[in-house]
Amino acid sequence: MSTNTAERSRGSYVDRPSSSSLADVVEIILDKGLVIDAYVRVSLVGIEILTIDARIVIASVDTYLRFAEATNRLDLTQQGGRDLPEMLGGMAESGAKGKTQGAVEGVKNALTPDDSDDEDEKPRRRTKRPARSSSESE
Amino acid sequence: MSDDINTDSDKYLYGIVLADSGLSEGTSGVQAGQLHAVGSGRVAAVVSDLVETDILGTPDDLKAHIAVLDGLAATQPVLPLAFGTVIPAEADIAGEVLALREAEYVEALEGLAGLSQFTLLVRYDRDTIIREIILDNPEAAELRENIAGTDEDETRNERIRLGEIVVKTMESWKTSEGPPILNQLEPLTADMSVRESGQAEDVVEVAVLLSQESLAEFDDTIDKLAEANQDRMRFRLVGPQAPYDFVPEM
Repeated sequence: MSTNTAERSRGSYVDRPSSSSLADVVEIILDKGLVIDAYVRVSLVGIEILTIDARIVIASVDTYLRFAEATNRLDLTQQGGRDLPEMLGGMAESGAKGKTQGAVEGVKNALTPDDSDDEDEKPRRRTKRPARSSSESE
Repeated sequence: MSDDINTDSDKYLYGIVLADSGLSEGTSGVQAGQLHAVGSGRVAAVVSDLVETDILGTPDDLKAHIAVLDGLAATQPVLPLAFGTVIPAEADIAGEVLALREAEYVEALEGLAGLSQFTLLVRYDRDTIIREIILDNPEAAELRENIAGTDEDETRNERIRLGEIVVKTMESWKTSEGPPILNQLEPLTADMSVRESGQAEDVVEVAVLLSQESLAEFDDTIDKLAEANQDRMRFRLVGPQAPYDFVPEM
């Protein structure tokens, strides 16, 4: 089932990473895969909370403020340009334009406290727990 | 296959494979553990020794879990287990985990033979889409003018309203723009599982199960879709992967 990488890399309009980034696999890690009943799953501290948090953050005030700021910085006279270099800088590192900011990135930050806090200047999400309550805050 | 396995340590479980398929040399797993196969009848569990169960869950552990399973999936059918599945040292993996459901595992694995998962993420280009929204919505344009040159504290309410318009507009647009993309892909797939949207900009996030024969046509279709939407959307295709989204209920 291996794939010819030379062939697959030809499409210039599609980002085809050679390996999965952490952001790519967060969804998988949070709730995919066979669960063996009758057996102990090690409970990973915080993962369940983060799952809920990642799902609700779209409708949060923080998300709204982030998009408002992106709108504020946008130069409407410029078409299709990269006119938010300071905001895109962090995303370019992860290999995809318009890549994660916010929820998944938040999970990633939470999971990697020591190596990815410097890559963006987005508003820090405050710790929301229990996560559900913050979905009502908008 | 597993003569040298350490019986004193907890075992991390990655997935279940057919017993005769073998493991590739030199692959290491979570906490750099050496991979072993523990067999029972026609199936085997792929495991490694866990040194410190308490600290499981680091980014490296997550990546190792995925790397092992994607590596296995490249050469054989595999049933991925949920991340963080650990079996205590004293447990009998063959007898207690595998033997009970051997027939179900075999059936599921045979059903996955020759199929690979890919994950497609289609996301609006943020600048482009915001520009469209501002041009399309007079209230958003006015709010944008109102917040220009102010800081967040001065115009917090206007900003929240503006951001809400942007997010809600994207959510509305994606409900009409996502399905046509999925409709073009679905006939090429053996199975398809649409994921819940993770980000406001996400148009579509979908896992697909592809046969080798359909791979080229699927790739071409993605290329064409991405080219046709290049001004507004970004396409990211990850794979081949283990069939995380297509593990049968059992």
